[in-house]
Amino acid sequence: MKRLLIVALIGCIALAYAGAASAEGFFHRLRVDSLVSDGIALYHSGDYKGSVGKFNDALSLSSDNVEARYDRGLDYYALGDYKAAAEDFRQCLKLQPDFVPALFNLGVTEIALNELDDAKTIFQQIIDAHPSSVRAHFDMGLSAYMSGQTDKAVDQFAVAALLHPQYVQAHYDKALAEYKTGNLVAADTETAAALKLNNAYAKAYFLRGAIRLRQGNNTDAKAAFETAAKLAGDPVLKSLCTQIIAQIGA
Amino acid sequence: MNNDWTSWLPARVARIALVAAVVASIGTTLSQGPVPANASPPAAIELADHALASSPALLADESPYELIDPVGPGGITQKQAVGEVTASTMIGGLYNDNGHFGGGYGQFYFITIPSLGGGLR
Repeated sequence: MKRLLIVALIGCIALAYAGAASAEGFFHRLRVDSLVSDGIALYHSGDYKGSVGKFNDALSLSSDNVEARYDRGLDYYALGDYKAAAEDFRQCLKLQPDFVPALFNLGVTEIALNELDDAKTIFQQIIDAHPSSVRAHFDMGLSAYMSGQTDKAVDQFAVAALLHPQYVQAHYDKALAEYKTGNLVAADTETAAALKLNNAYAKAYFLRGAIRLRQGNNTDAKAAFETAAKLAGDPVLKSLCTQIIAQIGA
Repeated sequence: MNNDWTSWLPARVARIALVAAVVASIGTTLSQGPVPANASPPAAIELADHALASSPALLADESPYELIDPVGPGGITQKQAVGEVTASTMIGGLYNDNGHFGGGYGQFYFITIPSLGGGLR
């Protein structure tokens, strides 16, 4: 009987200990989640430094928390610290290799770092696994365009625009890439598609002006540059338009 | 025998002279003033091409959704984040082949609001 009581007592102590440990784990998790939640709220409000602080606190409690590390990478990117952002996204992938959002964001960060070959490798990896990923095709196009592979860029932007016909930037970028390859007809068609979706797209009017110049249609070129100048929010673009209009003349 | 007339110049002086000549040439071209309509003014084309190739105001546009959204409490779920990457269409701030996840930022992002269009100016 006495032995039975001792066993029961030990059992109770063990259960109490396990319960306490579990409660501790629960409150630990709650604390980490609360910090991550605060960090995300600060990220959305644009307080990226404050947000980094919250994620740092979360990671000090739970260094293998993929979400906190991933979210901190977004903050670093927003702050322009692309190296730190890339490092966080890489760490996420070490902790969770199938976390494709971290891989995608790493690709975007490689573009920002001008590591275009690395970016292309990443986006190709995503395209291979998800052939209809509109974002991967778009960013593959951007990486190709920036590295001077305009033909490849045209193909990728075409896929992005085909998958998502409302994708204004895909149409504009494809038009730009077509212009670079010398295909003025295709460039004109894509510019028209971009302007149909956004008739206040100053850059597209600028591109239309350049196309008209190349076609020898100075009257329409001038009209396009005038519209671009009127719509442009960027003073540099406005000034460029004014200079070109002056060169075209009456 | 080396017939290069610059060979007797120090390399640095030659480079400076070359740059000055190029700048002067561009200046002369640009200062020629208006040309008749339909004459495809080369200066205008050069300016436009140069701007399209190098001006940050005109470079290829980036997606208004550069990065996938934050994940975790207060953000989207990991599954939704994966959906943002893999979806073939985009609606609002989120991506899904079978309709949006809700809570996005609105289809208008991709249509006509320049101030929200991620560089659509």
